[in-house]
This record gives sequence, C-alpha cells and structure tokens, in this order.
Amino acid sequence: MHMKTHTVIVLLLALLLPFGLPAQVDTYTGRIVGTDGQPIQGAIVTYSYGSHSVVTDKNGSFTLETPVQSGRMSIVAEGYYDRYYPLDSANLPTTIVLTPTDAPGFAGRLQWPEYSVLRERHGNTAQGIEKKDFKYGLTIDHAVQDAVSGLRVVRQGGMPGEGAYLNLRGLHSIVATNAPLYVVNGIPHFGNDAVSRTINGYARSVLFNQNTRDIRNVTVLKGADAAVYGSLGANGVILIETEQATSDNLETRISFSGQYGVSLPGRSLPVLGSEDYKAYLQDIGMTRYTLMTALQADYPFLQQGDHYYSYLFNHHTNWIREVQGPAFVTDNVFRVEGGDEIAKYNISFGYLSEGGVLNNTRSDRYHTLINANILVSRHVDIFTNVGLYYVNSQLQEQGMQPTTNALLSAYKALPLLSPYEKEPDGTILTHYATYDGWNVNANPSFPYDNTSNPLAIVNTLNAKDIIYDANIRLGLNVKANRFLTLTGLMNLYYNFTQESIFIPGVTDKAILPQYYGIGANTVRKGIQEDRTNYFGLSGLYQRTLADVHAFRASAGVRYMGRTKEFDLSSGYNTANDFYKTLGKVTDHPDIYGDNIEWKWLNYHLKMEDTWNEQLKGAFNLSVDGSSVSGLHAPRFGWFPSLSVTWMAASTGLLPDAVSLLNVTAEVSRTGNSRFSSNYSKNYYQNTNFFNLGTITRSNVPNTRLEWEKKDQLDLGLDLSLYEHLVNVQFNAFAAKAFDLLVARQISSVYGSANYYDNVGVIGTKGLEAGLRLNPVRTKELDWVLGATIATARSVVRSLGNSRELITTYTNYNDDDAMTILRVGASPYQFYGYQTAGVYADQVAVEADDLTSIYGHPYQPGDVRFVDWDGNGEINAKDKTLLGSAVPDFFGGLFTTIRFKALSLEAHFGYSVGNKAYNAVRRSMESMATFHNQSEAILNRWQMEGHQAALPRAVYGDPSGNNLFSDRWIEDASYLKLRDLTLRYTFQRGVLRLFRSGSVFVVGENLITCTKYLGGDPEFAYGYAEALQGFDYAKVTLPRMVKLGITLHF
Amino acid sequence: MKHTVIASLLAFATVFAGCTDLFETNPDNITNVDDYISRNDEIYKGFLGILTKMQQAGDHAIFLSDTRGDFLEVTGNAPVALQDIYNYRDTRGNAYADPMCYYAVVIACNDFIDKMRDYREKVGNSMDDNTATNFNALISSALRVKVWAYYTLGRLYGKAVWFDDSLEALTNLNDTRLFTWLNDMNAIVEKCLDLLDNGV
Repeated sequence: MHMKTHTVIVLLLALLLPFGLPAQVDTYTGRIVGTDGQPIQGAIVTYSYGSHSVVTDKNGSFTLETPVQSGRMSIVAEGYYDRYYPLDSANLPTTIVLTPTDAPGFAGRLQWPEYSVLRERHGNTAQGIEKKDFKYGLTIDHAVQDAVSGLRVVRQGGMPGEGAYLNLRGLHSIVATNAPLYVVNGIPHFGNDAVSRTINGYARSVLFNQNTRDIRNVTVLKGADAAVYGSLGANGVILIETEQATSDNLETRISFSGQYGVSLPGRSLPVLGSEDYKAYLQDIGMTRYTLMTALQADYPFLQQGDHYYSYLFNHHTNWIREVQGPAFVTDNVFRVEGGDEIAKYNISFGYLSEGGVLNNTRSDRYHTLINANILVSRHVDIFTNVGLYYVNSQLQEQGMQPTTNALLSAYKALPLLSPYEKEPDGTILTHYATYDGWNVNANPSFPYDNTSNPLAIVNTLNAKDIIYDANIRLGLNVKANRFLTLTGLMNLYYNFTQESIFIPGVTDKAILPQYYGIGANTVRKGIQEDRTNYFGLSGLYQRTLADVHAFRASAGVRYMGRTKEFDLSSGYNTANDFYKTLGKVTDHPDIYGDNIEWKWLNYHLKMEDTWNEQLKGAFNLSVDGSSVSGLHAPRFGWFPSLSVTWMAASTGLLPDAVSLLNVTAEVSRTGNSRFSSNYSKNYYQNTNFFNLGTITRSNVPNTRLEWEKKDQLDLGLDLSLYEHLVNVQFNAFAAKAFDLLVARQISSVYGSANYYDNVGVIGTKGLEAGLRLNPVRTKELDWVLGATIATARSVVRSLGNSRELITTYTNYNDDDAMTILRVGASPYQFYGYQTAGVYADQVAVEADDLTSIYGHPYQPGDVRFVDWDGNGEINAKDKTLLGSAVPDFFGGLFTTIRFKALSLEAHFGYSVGNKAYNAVRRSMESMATFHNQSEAILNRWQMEGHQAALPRAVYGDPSGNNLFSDRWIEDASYLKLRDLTLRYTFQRGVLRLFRSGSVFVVGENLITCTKYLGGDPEFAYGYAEALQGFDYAKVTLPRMVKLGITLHF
Repeated sequence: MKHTVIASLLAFATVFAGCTDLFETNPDNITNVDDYISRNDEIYKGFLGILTKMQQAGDHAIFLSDTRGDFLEVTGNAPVALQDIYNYRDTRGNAYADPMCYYAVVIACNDFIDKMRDYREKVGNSMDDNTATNFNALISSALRVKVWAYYTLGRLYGKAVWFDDSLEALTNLNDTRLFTWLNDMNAIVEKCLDLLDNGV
C-alpha cells in the first residue's frame, strides 16, 4: 500500500513539472466554424494567461495576441461544446471546428455532481448520454437503453410501472447486490429492487421517481472513476443529473412536453382451437381413462352430434384476446424556470399514465420537482431540489401462478367455454362463468382440471400499489476564494409503498381457490417504508497552474444511513367477496415482517491534472467503512485508483485528420458493501413457538466478515477523425472480484446452516466498442449512424471450499429448475438434463435401455435423455450445464437523418447468445393435464415409428418427459427495432402562442427478429442475477405508438 | 476563512471517525447481543427460545431414529433422503442425518447460561424473590435440555463434541480448551452426569 501511495505522489509531481519549451507564437489568427462548415459568430476565445479574450466576428474569425508562448486556448460558443488547444502545439489549426451540442448520438460532456468535463478531456471509461439523445421511453432506463456500450438494459415486461434490469460488465457478486450504483445529483440512490410479495411477480422500476424529462445527463462510470464511491463502486456507477436552477438565462421560460399514444399487446403463444383441443383431449384422455364412454361421460363434447350440454361447449373463445387489449399511454411535463441574479428556480410538474395491455392495469404517476438556487452573498449560495412523487397503480398478478395470472390462465382455459354463465337455451348471463360450471358430471371418474376464468381475473381481481415518495436535497456552496468551493449537502429520502390485493372467489367462484385449495378468497396487504439520510461535506479546488496545468482536486466526507421496514399480512376466506379487508378473513391469518438498517461512511479524495491538453493523470482514493463489517473485521477499507490519459491529438504529432485520439489506462480497486448488516452479527430474534414469542439466537456469525473487493484494469481508446466525422471508442477491461460472500459449508458442531465468508472469486474480461459516423452534415441535411457492441465474460474462480453452488426455484410454483455456479464456468448457468429427441419406436427404446428418473423403462414417444454417467438410469447425476442468460455480445445500432427541420431516427438493439428458460412454453407443452395446450403439440408423437419433435401426450407425465431440460432452454438472441421516431422541429412560433417546439411520432418495440418461441425475448423477472433468463409469465413487452409535442412558450 | 473551513472539515471528519456507534445497526426486529438479557421477561422468553430449537431438533430425532425401528415406515412419496435412512443407505450429505440441530440446542443452552450469568451480575441483589427462584429453575432446566441434546447425539451418532462456550464466532474445533471430543457413549454419559450433578 505504501509503495503504491509513493508511486502516485511521484507521478503527480511529475505531471506538475513544466515540460519542455513552448514554440514561439506571438499572434494567432484563426477561424471558427461548426461541423456543418458555417462560421460561428460570437464565440469567445480565451487565452489562459491573464484570461485574455477575443470574440469572433461574423465570419467566425479572430486574432489573438499572446504575450507568452505557452498556455492553452479555450473556445466557448453558445450551442457548441467548448474546445481547448495547447498554444505551443505544432499544428494549431487555422480553422477550428466546434461540435454542436445537439449533434445526434454524440455526448460531448460528462456530468459530475459538482462539475462537468468535456469528453475530449477525459478517458472514455466514463461515458455520457445527454438529454437530447434520450429516447421517448417512459422510464429513464428505457431512455438510455443501448446508448452506452457495456451497459446491459433489459426491460422487465409489460406491466405498468415496471423498469429494467441493469448490468454493467458482468457478475461481480453472488450474495451482495450486483446492480450498478445509481447516484442522483451526487446522492447514492438504492431504491426498491425487491419483487413484490403482495402482488406476485411485480417489480417496479427502481428509478420510478425520475422523470426522463427532468434529467439532463446520465454518465456511466465503468472504470477508475467509480473508486471514489469506495465500497459502493464495484458494480460501476451511473450518475444521474437532473435539471437544476443554475441557468444564466434569467428570462422566465415556460415549456411543455407531452406524449399520447397507445400500447398494443405483444406476441403470445398460439394455443389450440376448439377442434384441435378436442382431438388432444381424446388422445390424452385415454391415457387416464380406460373406457372412452367414461371419458365422454365426463367430457360430453367428445361425443358425436348434439347432446344436452352442447350449449356449454359450443364456443371458440380466444381467451388471450379476452384479457388483453390496447391501452392509452400519456406522459406530460410542464416546466417553468427563471429568476433573477439572486434567486433562480426551475420547477416541473408531471403526469404520467401508463395503461397496460393486460386489461384493467394502469399506473398513474404525479410528480413535481422543485429546484431553487439562492445567492445569499457573493460567496455563498444555497440550493435545493425537492422531488415529490405519488404513484397509484392498478395491477395484476404475474409469474407461474396459473390460478391468478390472467395470461397463464388464458393459455390454459378451454377454448370451448364461454367467459360468462349460460342458460340451457343459449342465453348468456352477465355473471362470469364459474371455474367448475362446465363440470357436468357430478361424480366424474377423476377430478376435473379446472382453470380460473381469465376474464374474471382481469375484471375482478383487485391489486393496487400506491407509492408516496419524497426526496429532499439541500446544499450550501461557499466560495472560499477563486479556486476553492466548499459544499455542505444533505439529502432526506422517504418512500412509503403500500400494496394490496384481493382475489375474489367466494361469491362468484370464478377464480380457483388459493393456498392448497382452501382459500376461496384471499386478502394480502404489504407496506414498505424506506428512509435514507445523507450528509456530506466536500471541497473542490480548481486552478490553472503555470499556465499549462489544469488542476482539480476534491476531498470530502459523506455519511449515509438507511432503514427499511417491510410488513406483509395475509389471510383467506372472508364471508363473501364484498368484504375485502384483512380484518374479515377467517382462515390462516399470517403476518411477516423485516427490518433492515445499513450505514456507510466514506472519505474521498480526487486529484487530477491535465498538462498542456496532452496528458491527464487522475488519482482517486476512498477510505470507506460500513455497517456490514463484523466485530473482528477491519472497519475501513482503502479504495484507490489511478488513471492516465494521453491526448495524442493535441501533441501535434499526428496528421490533421486525427482530431481526437485519447488513450487511457486505469487501475482501480472498488468494493461492495451492499448486503445485510446482520450477516456478521450476533443477535437475537423473535421466533413463534406455538403462538408464544420466544427469543432465539442467530447462527454463529462470521465476525471477520467484510466488504467484497474488485480490482480492475482498464484500457480505453477514443478516436475522432475529421472532426467527429468518424468516432471510434474502444475499451478493454479485466476485473477480478474477490472476497465475495459465499454461504460456506461449516461443521455441524457450529449449529448453523448459513455461514457467509469472504471466499468467492469471479473474474471478468470484456471488450466494448462504439462507432459513430456523421457522413453528411450540412446545414440542411445531417445523417448520423452508429453502433455499439460489448461483451463481458465472467468466470467463477473460487467458491471457497465448494466446487459448485446450486440455486433451486421450488418457491416458484414448485419449479424443479436449477442454476449453478461452478468453479471454472460462467455463472448462473441453467442446470438440467440434456435431451436427444424422442424415441420413435420400441427398437430405439431398447437400443438405449434406460430407466427413467422414476425407475421405469421408457416407452416409444418418450423423450430421450442423455445418460451422461452411463449407468443406465436417468438421475440427478445426468444434469449438465445448459448455458446462461448472459449474451455473448450485445449492443445497439442507430441512425438519424435530418433534412431541414424534419428528422427520422431509428434505434435497434441486439443481444446474441443469451439463453432463456421458457417456463411458459414448458407449462403449455407439457401434455400432462387436460388443460389447453400450445399449438406446438400438434407435432407430438402419436404412433409407433412416428419421427416427432414432441413426446407423446400422457396424463401426469409418468416418464418425466417434462423434467427441467434443454427442451425448455432456448436461444433468446434478438435484433429489435426499439424505436422509430419522426420529428418536426420548428424554431419559429405559431400564432404567437409559443416560440419554438417540436412534434413527433414514435413507435416503440415495433419489430423483433428472434427464434425465441415466447412472447418477447426481452424480459426480466425482477433484479436478481439468479432469475435472469427465467421467462416466468410476465406480461409481454407491448408495442407502442405515440404522438408527442414539445413546446417552449 | 480557508483555515476555518479546513478546521471544520477536519472536525466533521474526526467526529464521524471517533464515534464507534456510528456503524452500529439496531433494527426493530432483532436484539443486539449487548442488549440481551436486560429485562426480567427475557429470561423466560430466552428459555422458550431453547425449546424452539429443541422442537426443531425433535423432528429430526424422530426421522433419524423411528424410521429405523418399527414405529415409522416411509412411503414411496417420502423424500429420497428419508428413504435412504429407512433403508440404512449411506447418509453422508443427508439433511435428516445432520446433527447440526442438536448442536444448535447446545449453543442455545450455553448462550442462555452465559447471558443469565451476566444478567445476575448486572442486577445483583435487586432481583425480586419470585424471579430469583425461577432464575435457578431456568438455569437448571437449560442444563437438562443440554444433557438431552448430548444424550440424543450419543444415542444417534455414538459420539459428540462437548463444549460450554456460546460460540459467538467461528472458533477452531481443534482448540482443546473449548472442545472435548467424546468418542463413545460412556464418555458422553459421564459428561452429562457430571453436568447434572455439578452444574456450571
């Protein structure tokens, strides 16, 4: 450690020494133009020595007289990114080209909470996205999807209010959070990343309290810059900067932006129609019944001709269409900003309403963001941001719960049935058909396989989610002198989420009972309260030293404390469906609760120096402690990073065509303390013992437990040719995450099941690249195209004294799926049986002579499993690795064409090599029940010698054909047109109502090319790494078409 | 000005660093070690906590012993682990054969006795008569539960690791000051009798 510190100091001193003698330049004449070749009038050209400035004339020309021969020249022009040149550069151009700030797909600025940095003056391990490039998505994660290479954004699904799973550069943790750290206006934001326990399968957006239109910049820190966040930085950092009241424009400005559109249901699994279903039932029915007459007695529609019950079974209901439909979507933000020299304000109000394609689902969000900045004295200013959000959502259950998930139920419901009750004369009543109304035989040979009435689910199941969210930031800046600013900052975050669900079933009997069939109706209520406090004090010192050193240093201390409480109550069977409260339940009332406390203290130091616009060195150091450390573990960890960027284009050694060539090398150590403070603690908990509260001791804790660590090496290259005509970005990284928490096996003598220890190691290597071309850029016509590509391959290097760790999913409706972490393999691979087709005939069966997992010999039409251990029987030892949800590579493509005021933009996203477990298809191709099945089963094995893709239909699956195997693991690679936007921008007002604005039409998620057989290859069940790639029957991502308008009054 | 600011920055930093409680968490659903036992009712709730652990071990005791006698017969639907016990198959890695739950009882007893001792020292003579009487009875009962755990371990496994420490951290099992390896039933019974006769 000492060695490293000394090296850093020596390097920094070296940077501060003046290098060489500058060339002789007394007068410098130049011309400033935009990338479209038009001269820029009014640009301010400043020479660093004595801050001498000149302004360009209408031809963009200027003459700068320099009293000394070194220093740097800066060019600032409104509407363009600033530019810097060293004056001693051998090839200082006579024509200087500035890039407009509205250049599409080009983020010229990286925004830190305290200051911004030009991209040209920073290594490209930090990448920004500016507001102009945000897509018109309803959430910020959607708005920045594919924009940064290496940041994988996977949208969760089509339930309103859901967000996206984010991953930056692979897996760095097993037990702790693996999601990047969000930092909003300098304050770490954790959000609620839990899948709801009240409303099954619902995972709201972690960033629901950020309106896209209120955000001005998102900067992703992939490399050494993240080290300043110490033990929160290992997963990378996403800086989100919202609009502030800091504009120098003192005019009162009012603006409005609105989007209005329609959300359309995505693709669904095709299911059997009435006739095909009958054929299927006849087939599978005879694997359960011995006599056709008995089967027909229970299922009279299998009889030929009319019969008494024909009126019940003469429908061709498309249940999916019954429960899904177009929905209205709107997002409106009204903003007013202005003020005077002393007090400035920037206030926005918004209303978002996201209708879901599943009927009766909707999320309404009302918000305001109030920003104020008050100059108390010449040296002191106070600033505040107050964000208030109220969200009210009407939702439905998702996940593998066929009794309450309307989509699953719609897949399984019999197409022959009517959604409503019917009279024998054919009259359709207004009541929903009961789930067993068609069970015409009072004493059937076997119980009926009923399903809930899907229409009753969407229309009568009442699931609500209400959120009150307040975020208050208050700060004070003291300008101690020209160079030093001190900032005190506090932030109070409060979130109260109340979820409730009522599943009817007593009065109407249209929805199947819950809880092993005894809960005719269900009431559940959950609340969550999250309080996070932040206090920080920091100083920022910025100064130009010896004319050629742009030096910046910041240091400070920050503290964060979080408390979170979650309570859930449930019960069953109120007297009838009019009583919907917990107080009225009569069976199995149950209460669950959890409290979390977590604390973090961080001292941070950042120093950087840019020498002569040619060489930049930066050093970060965090000393960081948190409540996760055990009694006998060190409290504080050291997280240093070092970064060097060579800005080769400024040296004058390269051809004129190279306008930017930054080469960056970085090393960093970051940490992860985003896990429970209780893992390392001895404590006592309350346990229920025959309805008596008793006090029991926790497991033997690991009192030496500490934060996880990650060391990373980064290389970056940022190249621009012909003034951003061609931009190429390239990154390579190698990371080693170590001391990762793993539930280690310990001796039984310790009396403890789980013992977390810092023993895991995961290595990740990756490459990222971005390309942007701007082949046409005249005033009239501008054409940009770009692409990103990224790969991040993680490999488990150690799991302590285990070679592998298996994750099971029995909590998900008894799913036998597994994923595995195995040393030497990529993490979270699906772990199941491998298959090799279907036995066509008895000869094939006998050739293999295998015994099924249930101990029986296989039969023709059964799935042929691979017997890896060759012992003649299929058992758990034959399970193998089946791939994971991590793509081989992924990224985006985009193009923008602007002709005068009209522009057309298209964004594509792709992901290649990612596997998915299609649990929905599995349940629809099982051919093990009398429920309706997928159309695919028409290709099932039906007779001896039949070369079929799918096995035989047998009730109850006695051969285990549907075990978790590669039959259900699919290639979920895709290329999709994420959005297509046509926009007309007008600079002049209309009827004097407004000054400028734009109108646009945007289509989202319009076209998807994929081999994936499910609804959409893009889905995520919550935020947990172990659940990625699990297609657990979430609402498919909808297609959306919206009309929008932006007006500046 | 600059000095004032730097001084306040340092003061702020020092205040944070000097406060050891800063990192202590105390959520409402757990009791920290230092706060237990601090009230009279906790001596009863704590003792019932031992019984909670004992009940969890009770299930195991039945699965591991009664399935091997004539009392219980497993069905074809029983978990494979249970069938393996019934059929006297290899029980390595078998969750039902894991002695962990008995040691959890032992740790709970040791911990309870330790904490009761601390409580007695803290409260001194200010304990009311009723509590003082029950106090001794609870200690005595905890010892008997511990003996039950070791006796069951002996009966089922024929060996046990004896310790009186409450294991608040992962301690080396080869530390002979803390752990005594008892390799036959006689040694276990002897230790149990000694505990019953002489107490702690």
